[in-house]
Formats: sequence, structure tokens, C-alpha cells
Amino acid sequence: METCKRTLGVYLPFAKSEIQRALAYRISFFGYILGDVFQIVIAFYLWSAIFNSSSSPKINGFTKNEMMVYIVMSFITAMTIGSGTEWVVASEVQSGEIAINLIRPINYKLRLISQSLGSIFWQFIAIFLPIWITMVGIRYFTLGELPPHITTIGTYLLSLIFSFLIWFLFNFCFGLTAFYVTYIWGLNMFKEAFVRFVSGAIIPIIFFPLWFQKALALLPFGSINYTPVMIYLNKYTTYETLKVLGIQVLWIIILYLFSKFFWGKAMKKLTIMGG
Amino acid sequence: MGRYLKLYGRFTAQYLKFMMQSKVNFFIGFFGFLTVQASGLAFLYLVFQHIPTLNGWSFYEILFIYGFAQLPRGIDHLLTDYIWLLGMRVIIKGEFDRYLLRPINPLFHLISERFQPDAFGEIIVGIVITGIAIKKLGMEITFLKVILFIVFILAGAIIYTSIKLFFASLAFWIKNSMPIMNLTYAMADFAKYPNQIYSKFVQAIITVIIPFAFTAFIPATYFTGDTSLTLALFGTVGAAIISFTVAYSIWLRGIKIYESAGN
Amino acid sequence: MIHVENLTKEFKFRKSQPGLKGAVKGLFSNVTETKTAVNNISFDISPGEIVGYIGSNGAGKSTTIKMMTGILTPTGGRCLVNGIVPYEKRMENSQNIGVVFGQRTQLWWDLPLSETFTILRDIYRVPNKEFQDRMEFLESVLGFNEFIHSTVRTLSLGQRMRADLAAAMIHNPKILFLDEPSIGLDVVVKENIRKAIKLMNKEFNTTVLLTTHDMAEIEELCNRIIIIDSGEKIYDGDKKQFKDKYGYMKTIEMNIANEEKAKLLNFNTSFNLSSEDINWSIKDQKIVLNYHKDKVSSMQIISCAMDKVDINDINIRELPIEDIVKGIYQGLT
Repeated sequence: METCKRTLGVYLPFAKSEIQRALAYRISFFGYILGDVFQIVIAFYLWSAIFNSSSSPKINGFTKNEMMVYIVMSFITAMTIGSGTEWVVASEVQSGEIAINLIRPINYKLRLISQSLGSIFWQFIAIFLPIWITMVGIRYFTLGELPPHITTIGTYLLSLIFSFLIWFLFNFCFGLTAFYVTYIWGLNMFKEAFVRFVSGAIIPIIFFPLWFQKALALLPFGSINYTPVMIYLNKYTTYETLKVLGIQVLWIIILYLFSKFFWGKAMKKLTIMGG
Repeated sequence: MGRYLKLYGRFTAQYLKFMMQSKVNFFIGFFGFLTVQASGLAFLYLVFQHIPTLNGWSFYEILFIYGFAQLPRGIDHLLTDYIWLLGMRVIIKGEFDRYLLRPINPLFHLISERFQPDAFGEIIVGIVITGIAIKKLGMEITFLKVILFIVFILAGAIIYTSIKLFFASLAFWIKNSMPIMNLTYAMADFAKYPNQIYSKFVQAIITVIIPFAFTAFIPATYFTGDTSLTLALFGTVGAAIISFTVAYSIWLRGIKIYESAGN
Repeated sequence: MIHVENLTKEFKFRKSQPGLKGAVKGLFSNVTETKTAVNNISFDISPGEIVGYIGSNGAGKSTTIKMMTGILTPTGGRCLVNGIVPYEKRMENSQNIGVVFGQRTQLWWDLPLSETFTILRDIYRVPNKEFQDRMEFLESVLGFNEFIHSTVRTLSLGQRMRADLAAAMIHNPKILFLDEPSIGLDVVVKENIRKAIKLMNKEFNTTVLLTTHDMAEIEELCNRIIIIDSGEKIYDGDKKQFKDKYGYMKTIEMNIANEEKAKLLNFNTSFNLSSEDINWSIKDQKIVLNYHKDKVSSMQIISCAMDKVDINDINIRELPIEDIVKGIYQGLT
């Protein structure tokens, strides 16, 4: 209990500072977010047109209504779990600051995750809740539709937490590649575009050809966005839900091991090269 | 005028040399852009597996518009990428002074600070997609059409640059104009798809207020036979002239403010 | 060459308050303050002069220079640089001037230094032969050939400074503005830069306006000094006059154990010097003493002090500008 409290005392300030920073830059922040919101707007119009042009009311098991919810949910899911960890790591590698972490008695990963949690907390309050509540509100008043059952929401949130962990660990490893590559910016753009596409943020994974879906199953990206959103939409049976949650946990474990491995290699490189 | 061309040539040559020094970085950036484009295309392709046309537009017509949209954007990105830094850093860090201290036009100086070969990714994708679409649509290639094509692309690039310059110049007033630049640039994506799918309100905005529609949809659909020559030609070129005039005046205004307030 | 007449510059800015409450308040109310950075300054500089423009931080030096280089428009008064009003005819003016900002570079960051030079040659339209000759001269004086092919980003501060100086001279400007050119440089590099400036002035009769905090730099380079404080000119005369009148004062800091005993000391009577030439204060277990180094030596002062009180530690340094300026005010009253 004591160590727990002490640990909290050490790492909580990192979370707090992220929130403070977010507050200070809130105008810039909303400017950026609004830019991304345009993507949803375009998606709305596109899908409306697509469903209007379709001979059947369902495409790949999605009704137009469900697709609209899908777009919003996948957007706010992606926005909430992103925390720029790869940038923090990469920039600290490039500036050499990362060497300080060898000296400080603070666990680097814990510190990073505390910062991330700060961001996540802020993003949840500032993006997720307002947009979700708005969506639920609009759908209630225009369509008379109620929000999903509390257990669905609960399961979604659990899946969201898993998504956060997967994405955090992945980005941590990705950030460490800064030890080997100088053009992190370009690589990151590639990663963001690729992940965005294959995680189902642009189009539900079920639209992909079967062979591609099978290949994707070997990567963690489906678990980051598609899984929680599909849970929210009640698209899975209980059995399937447990299965995808289990896959998420599996990825957390795999990526955790990867992160340990890469961190070890990075530290070795650091101590040999002297930052 | 000739002097500026020569100067620009020199700037560009230097940057190309510099960029080429790190081929790995160049290719990574190149593939970064390629991927972004590819996902948009994959989306369209996958969607068209389920519908015959989109609001009456065939797959290749949509493809043509989409590819066409990349070209002005790519050219603008290739040549005037540094304008982003105006909104991001140049004003805030006081780097603007040097543009005022040299006997060349400050806007020219700003733009020639960077040549962004990554944008070749966008341009090449645009050319390839447009090419495929033209072939599949069986479009007639006449001399006039080629000239018009080039004119539209260049006018579109000018529109992109002007819009970017306008919002970047706001930095003279608000110091950090990145968020709003991001916002407006995100609107450019609207023009990749047919105007009709949007509400009248949205259509009005992207045609008249922030004229991205003239960078892609309107000129592109001249070639598919859906827009008249008059609208396409006069609209696009007109929009280019107007947007550049507006943007450049704001830029000059901003410099005056800078000169009276320092940094 | 440079004519400055009643030049004034006022800045309006919003005062922001600290903390979250302050930030919220700041959204609703606008308290603007006016700061007069430059207040009614006038002077004339003839061709070929090397003038030291000194003052403490925030005194208005950079602001004046910005107006003379055309980057800033004055609120009142006017200035002419080589017959041109800089902020009205910016491009024409830039052909005549060279500027080096100590803290910011004018070079192209991502390109090799040689490219900066050739690009500048084209921008300023320097004929090829002239360019070659000048580069040869600048190389002999600044020695940049050893790193001329390196990217500017990779240069050390000293190298970059030399490069910036060369870059400013490529088009043989009639006037060279140097804003803290040797800040942060080590002694050897500073010396080289000073030599270079002197040589360039001699060779091309370049007028030089130099702002600096470094008294030694003034000592070596300038024949005339203009001092500015709080936006106003408080001294304008030649260096010898300045030295004679205000001296090159130095400061001794003596750490002592017993303040009471130190209060018994009277250096004015001990050396028969006025408080202009020697003055001191006792605080925090220290005697901080300013003295005219030509009229009394540090050894004399220390032995005089040791007579009455034990000294634990000694620190001798040049008088900072702020104190010289204070001294000038005291001298005036």
C-alpha cells in the first residue's frame, strides 16, 4: 500500500503536467481537432451518398445508421487513445535527453504512461465525452434512438482501455526506432496513414478482401480501433466479444515483451555510444 | 523577373542536392505520402464493390476527380511548403527579419527557403490515377484539352497557395496560426469528391468562400463533360486571381503590422 | 552616412496576468501598456566611423538598429541611412547595409556554407570578379575555408559568427550593423572577429555600428561611443573623452567576516580620491568596491582594506555597463 501511494506520488505529477499543458494549448488543440472533424463530415456525406446509391439497405451487414455511428465512434476512439508517445520518445532520443533516464530513479515506461494517461484523461473529457453526448443526443431527438445498454458501454470502455495499452506499447517501440532512423517524421506519417487505414478508422475491416483480413489478424492494429467500435455497435455475440477481448489482451502481452526487448537493446546502444 | 527565376533555380538546385544526400529519408517521406493516397484509393475501390455508381458517378469518374485533386495540391506542396513555417515558427521565433533585410521580395524569399521533393509522391500518384481513369473512361485527348488541363492544375495550385498564405499570414496578428491553417487545409479534402454529395451549405463554402472546389471538382468535371467550359475556365482562373490578390494583400498588411510592432 | 533625428519608438502591448484566474480574466479585459523603447534619439555618423552603441539590456539598442535597418517603423522622428529612409525604401536600403545579429543567423541552415555565399552573391547581384576578390579578402581575414563545405547547421558558434560576418560583407555594404556579434564566443574567436572588423573597415571604409556589452571590444574597435539608457541617449563622444571622464572602472568584491569592522574603512580619504573614482558598499558579508584603475591599483585597495578587516576571498572584474551608466548619471548630477 505504501509503495503504491509513493509510486502514485512520483508519477501523478507527470499526468498532471500533461493536463496543464493541454489546457495551456487548448486553442491550438481545438484547432487541430476541428481539422480532423472535417474528415468525419466528409465521411458522413460520402457514406450517405454511398448508401443512397446502394440497392440494398445493408452493406456488409451495416445499415446507414450503423455506419454513421461507426464513423463517429471510430473517430473518437482513435482521438482518445492517441498520446504522442512516439514523439516524446523519438524527440528524447534525438536530443539525447533519453540518456538522463539512465540516471534518474524513475521508470521510463511508467513515466511515459503517466504522461499518456494525462493526455488520455484530457482527451476523454475534451473530445470523447462532448462528441459522444452530442451524437447520442442528436440520435435520440431525431431518431428516437437510445444509447446502447450499460453493459455494452462498459465492455466498450474495457476494450478502449486495452486499445490504449496496445497503442501505447506499440508507439513506445516505434519511438525507439529513432535510435536507428533520422527521418522519424516521414516514417511516422507512413505509420499513421497505414494504421489509420488498417485499424478500421477509414473503412470497417469487414470491407477488406478476405485474404487481407486474414493478414491483418496477424497485426495488432485491428484490435486498436475496430474491436472496441464493433463491441459498441453490438456486432459481436458474447462468444465473439470474449474472443476479441482476449486477442487484445494477447497483443498487450506480446507488445509488452517486445517493448522490454527493444528497450534493452536501446539501453545497450545508448551506453555503448554514450548518447 | 528573369532574375527571380534564376535565383529560384539556384535555391532549388541546392535543396535537391541536400535532399538527395539522404536518400533513405527521401524515400521514407515519399512512401509516407504514397500510403496516405493509397488508403483513399483503397477506400473508393472497396466501396465500389458494393455500389454501381456513387450518386450517378462511375468509379473511374470518381477516380479521375480524386487523381486530379492531387495535382494542384502536390505542386503547391512541392514549391511553397515553407509557408507553413510562417504560421508555425517564423514569426514567433523572430526569423522573419531576414526576409526584410535582403533586396528581394520577402514572399519569394520565404517560399524559396524550402523545396519539398516528398510532394512528388502526391504528384506521381495524381498523374497515375488520372492516367488510368482517362484510359478507362475513354476520354478524348486533344491539344486544347491538354492546355486546359495544365491551366487548371496551375490555377488550382495558385488557389492552394493563396489559401495557405492567407491563413499563414494571420500569424502576423495571432503569432501561431498553425491550428487554423490545419483547419482550412483539411477542408481541401472536400474537393476530392463530387460536390453534389454535400449539402448546399457546404457546397457554397467550398466554392465561394474558401474555393477549394475550383482546385479539383469543377475543373475536373469539365473533362467528364459535366461542367461547362465557361464555368470551369473562368471560375477556376477567376478564383485563382481573386484568392491570390486577397492573400497577397493580407500578407503585405501583415508585414506592415510586423514593421510597426516588432516581435 | 547615418542621420538619426528625434527617433522615437513606442510599443503597445497587453499585460497578461499569471495563473488560471489571470488567464480567464485575460479573455475579457484588455489592459494595454505603452512602453517607450526609444525616446527622441538624434545622432549623425560619418562614413568610415566605427561607433560603439552601448547600453544595458532593454535600453533600446536593438530597437534603434531595427529602425535603421528598415525592419521597424518609428513612431516619431526619422532616420536616413546613406540618404535613404530605411523603412520606406527597404529593398534599396538593404543593398547598402550588412547586418549581423549575434543571436540569429542569416545563413541558410540546411545548406553548405559555400552555397550561402553564392546565393547571396546572386541576391545582391555582385559581379563575379568582385565576388572572387572579396571572398579572397574575407577568407584571409576570417578564415572560413576550412569549414566552407560544411552545412551551416553543423558549425560551432564561433565558426557561424565568422561566416555571418563574411556573409554580411559579400556585397560590400557601406554600413555594417553588428548587434552583439561576439556574444557567447571565447576569447580567441572574439579577438579574431575584432581584427577582421578593423581590417574590413580599413580596406573598404565600411561604416560600422556595433552594439555590445563587452567593454574590451569597445576599447579595441571604436573611436566613438554612444550610450543609450531607457531609450535615451546619455552620452555621445569619442572614446578617449569617455575613458578620461568615466575611466575604465573596475570592481573588487571582497568577502569579509566582520561587517562592523569594514564600516570603519574610508577609501576616499585613504587615497584622496573622490567618490567618482572610488566608491563602495558593504552588504552580505561583502565589500563591493568600484575604482578607477588608472588612479589606484587593486593591490593598494586590498592592502588598505586588510589593514582593518580580514579578507576571505577576492574577485576582480570589469565594471558592468549598468554601473558605468549609473556612474554617468551620478557624474551628470
